[in-house]
Amino acid sequence: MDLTRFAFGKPHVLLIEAPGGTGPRLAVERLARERGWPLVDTPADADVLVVAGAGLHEPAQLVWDQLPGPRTRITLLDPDRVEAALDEAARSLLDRAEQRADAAARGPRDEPMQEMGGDSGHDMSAEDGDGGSGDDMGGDDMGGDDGGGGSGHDMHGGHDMGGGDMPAGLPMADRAPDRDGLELDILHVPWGPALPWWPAGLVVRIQLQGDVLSEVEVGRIGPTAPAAPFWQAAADAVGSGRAAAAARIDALTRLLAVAGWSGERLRAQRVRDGLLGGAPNEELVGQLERLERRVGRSALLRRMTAALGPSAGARVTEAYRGWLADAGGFRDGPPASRTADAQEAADQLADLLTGAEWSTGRLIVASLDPELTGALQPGAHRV
Amino acid sequence: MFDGPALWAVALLPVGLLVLAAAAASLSAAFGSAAAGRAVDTEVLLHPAREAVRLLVVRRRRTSHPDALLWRLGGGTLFVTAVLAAAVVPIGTTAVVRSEVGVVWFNAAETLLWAALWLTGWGANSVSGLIGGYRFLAQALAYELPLMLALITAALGAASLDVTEIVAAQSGLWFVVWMPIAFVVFLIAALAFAFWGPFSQPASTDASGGILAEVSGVDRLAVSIGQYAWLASAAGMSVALFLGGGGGPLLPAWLWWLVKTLAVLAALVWTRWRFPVIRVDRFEEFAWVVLLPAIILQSLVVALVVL
Repeated sequence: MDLTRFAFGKPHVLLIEAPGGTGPRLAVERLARERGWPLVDTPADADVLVVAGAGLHEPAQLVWDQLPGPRTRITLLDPDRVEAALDEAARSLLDRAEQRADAAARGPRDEPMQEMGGDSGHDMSAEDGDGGSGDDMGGDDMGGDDGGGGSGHDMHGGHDMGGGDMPAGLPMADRAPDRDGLELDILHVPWGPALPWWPAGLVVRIQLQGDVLSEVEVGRIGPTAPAAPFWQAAADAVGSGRAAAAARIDALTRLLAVAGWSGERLRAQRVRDGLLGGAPNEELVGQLERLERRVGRSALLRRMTAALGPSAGARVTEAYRGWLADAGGFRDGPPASRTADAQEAADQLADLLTGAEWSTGRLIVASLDPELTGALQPGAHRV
Repeated sequence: MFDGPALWAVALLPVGLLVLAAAAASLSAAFGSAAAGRAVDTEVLLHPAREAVRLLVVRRRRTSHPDALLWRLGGGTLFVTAVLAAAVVPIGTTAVVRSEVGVVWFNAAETLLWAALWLTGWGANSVSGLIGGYRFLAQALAYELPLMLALITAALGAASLDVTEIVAAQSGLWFVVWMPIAFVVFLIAALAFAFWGPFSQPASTDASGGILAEVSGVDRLAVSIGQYAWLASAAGMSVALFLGGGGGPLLPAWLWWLVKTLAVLAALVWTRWRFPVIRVDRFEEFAWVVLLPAIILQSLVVALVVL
């Protein structure tokens, strides 16, 4: 029908990246930008779930269950197939028969989820009969989209309906002293791996008191497929200076997204796509200078990223300024490697995050730059 | 005898506010297109309609054990309060509802946002929503006192709480000229209570959408319309309080008001694309250490001038 075609002319995309999904992710970001398909923050606002790369099957399923519908999902492995896949997704949203069948398979309206899986295979599919108690218990998926009681990995016997300490099958929050010595509720919430603007495959399990991360566990999920091969191939295609600059600006786009600056995030994406797509040097120099002026010298962004506590300090500010400085010299070949710094930061991630607040914690993770270095590889640190 | 506002005006007010809200949404889409490097064409005018129809088609979500009534009430309240606030704004020289305490009325309607946005975040029973809700309360704690003082400063200048009187008092000199701090504080507070742009941390990306993390379909539409409507109401109010309302040469008063309102609205919308999100903890400090003393000083100066 024409009205539906109009309504879903620019579908909202929830884009998550699996390890090794850099190529398709960049293709999706570029096409979404060119077509005006918004990249959204939450499954509640998404029409299309796009998984770039392979190996996030279970977390992606948990996110998928949270899309309200009409909905469609695609998994992308090959950057060259992205355009066709997005076209197909747009068509699928308009396919009434397909959407009806999908909706019917999910049960009654207002109850989008029936089956949930905790991350370690707890059977959460108990039919609880009260209209959607299983909803939204996505343990491993979006940072903290699960119910108030805690996340999947903490759900021992989670379907003991109405048990004394588990009203409605959710465990009550525990209590523990917070950093100021007050007894506060604690919640266990996972960050990643299926989270937009998040390093592929990274999982950070946090213990939350208020919005303070009181305990942090860093791990990873998915296949061992760092981004290095993609950037290596890019260096072969457009030159190592351009590829290195693009990798840094790519890291910047993620930081800007987490910092809530969509205007400059989009502009940075254009610069990155230009670097990889063979835009003329003069044009790129101008764009990079503008980015350096607007973002690198933004007093507001500096204030939001500096003084993030004793361990993180000004690390985030230094990170994006370093990326911009490196990228500015893209004509002179690749800049000095930051691998050692990035690896060190990745190894210390749990320390950097402990005691941080939710928003600063997200900024610290976004300043890590694992794409660039292949840091955060398995074995680099224990869970 | 019935001495209230004309019925047609009451009926037209929400419609007018919707049109302004759609204009704001179109403008934001235009800024977005420009940032993304797309052509800014008539497509952006269709953007609000497209989003509205889309959200009407998308199903509502339910979370695990939400407080469904309060959750949806929260989102639904936004547009209603925006209309209530707009009712006392003189469009040119005449407001839909002329009230002797219009300034207080506007403030009262705005205060309902505390409840509305908190409930939107809290009702879903989700971590992200709860964090967003708390962020809004903290933000409100920062902007509310400066906002009240900014409103009072304008009222002080005209020696009246009647917005129509305040407009009349600016026939010689716009209030923005001798109370610029109050004007700026009002605009900052407007962005903050509309959780827009740099003050959108209650609904920001880092918390998966915060208060909006679990909101879909028609519920999301209600919040979105309410947010744009509040931006429009605030822009209209700022024109009445500080920019001389409908005052200006040649054009009729209502048109002057509209032109100024659209200009302020455009500036408010633009901030979203120009600035990063301001974390509430940092804004809190700025509001209490800088904004509050500044606006107290401003109202003191105005009080001395009026005396």
